[in-house]
Amino acid sequence: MQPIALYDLDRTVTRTPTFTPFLLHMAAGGTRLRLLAVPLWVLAMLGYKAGFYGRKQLKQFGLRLLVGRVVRSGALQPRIDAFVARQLARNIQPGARARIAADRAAGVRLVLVTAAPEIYAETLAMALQFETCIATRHQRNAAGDLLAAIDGENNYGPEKVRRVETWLAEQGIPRADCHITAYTDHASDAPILDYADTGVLVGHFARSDPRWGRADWRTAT
Amino acid sequence: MNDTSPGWTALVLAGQRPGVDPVAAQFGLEAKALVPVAGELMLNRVLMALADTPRIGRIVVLAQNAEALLAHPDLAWAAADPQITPRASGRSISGSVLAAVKDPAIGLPVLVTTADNVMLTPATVSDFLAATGSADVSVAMVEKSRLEAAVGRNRRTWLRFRDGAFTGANLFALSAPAANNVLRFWERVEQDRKSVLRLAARFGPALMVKMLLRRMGVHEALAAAGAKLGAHVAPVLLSDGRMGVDVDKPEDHALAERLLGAQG
Repeated sequence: MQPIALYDLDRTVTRTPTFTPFLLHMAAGGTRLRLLAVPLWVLAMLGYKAGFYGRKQLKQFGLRLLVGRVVRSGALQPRIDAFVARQLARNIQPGARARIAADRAAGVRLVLVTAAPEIYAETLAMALQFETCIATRHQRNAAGDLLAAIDGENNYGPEKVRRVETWLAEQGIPRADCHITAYTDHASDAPILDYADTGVLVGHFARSDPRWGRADWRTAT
Repeated sequence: MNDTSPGWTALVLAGQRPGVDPVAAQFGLEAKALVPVAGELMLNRVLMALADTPRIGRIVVLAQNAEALLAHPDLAWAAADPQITPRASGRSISGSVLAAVKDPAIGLPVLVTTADNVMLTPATVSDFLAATGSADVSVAMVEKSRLEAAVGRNRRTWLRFRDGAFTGANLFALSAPAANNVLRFWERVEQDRKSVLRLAARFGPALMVKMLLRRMGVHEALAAAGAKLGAHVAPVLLSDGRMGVDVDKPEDHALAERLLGAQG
């Protein structure tokens, strides 16, 4: 029986969300002229909250507004790396680090499953020694650079289950032959928590639910 | 203008974003607006609050299936009320709001809210409308400490400014034709159009300095966004902290039930 652990990123592995900080980091690190567009990002988020459009549209817009049409390239990579380094230095929950290390030591296959964009999620996953990163995918241009446009769907809710099933199939692992544990901070991840053999809600805001276990990763113990 | 004239049309967004809604799914329903909260349909709560607000003269329920929503037996009173009408929305929600505002049969001023805004009360709507002043677009917001004082610690996405962290209360007042520019902006975000992405330039250096020093307040941020789009946009900070709660997720639903249940 192959043990596999699926970790959500924002507020599960990290203390605070990463997407808006990523946009601001990228805008501030360039010519800085894009920072002037931040008020529009505020208005765009208010429109999202009122249901004018979905999260996919909001994210694509934010990336185009504050990063540009190309969101990962050789030229942008140093800025992305600096963002990842900042997350690693300040934003990882001690309990998540401890759980990841314990899983690694026990031979558990580690997979980061997140709605965050592959733009930085992949680098972050590798730095945290995950085997695989299943993140929101972006379209590519001919040069292989990532574009602001999302490829397929935002990796959220039931989409996470579809993506994990695809990964298992690629790996040639039948669902019955593995034991999956899923860690996430949020009940919106109910599909992946229920798909797993063991679901764990992480965080002190999480309401207890008889279906899932609970963990608080603010400290390492 | 007479302040007591029932001049405002309330537009209630009762449709859904694409994809499965987690709250509706939890109740095995297709329409989130018809999910009950503390014994009343969400849409019913919002309609009752608006119907009891003196300055609201007319209510339009905007959804892909607005007529079917109003056919729910609990909403029979609303279906029978000549001041409450259904209006079918198109594929784009922001586009449908824009079309409604431009429709001479509706026209400005318009109050826009959502069917999941279950903490809405006539007092909140009245206070909000009274505070709209000269803005073309007023945006109701709730400050974090107010929300936490009213409902306890609560996990949500906060917009952070020099003067605090705020969340939107899903209540917008559109007072003048320039408001269309903001609606068009939301429509373009939805459609991922290039035209809005050329907007970053042409803000003054003062804003740049504030951005770099992280010294921007919530009023300045919305004013700057509005200036860029050609509308006077201003926040209205609500006194009722519960207004930061909308029913987007199952845990919001549990919280709203607790708050509304306790109210009796």
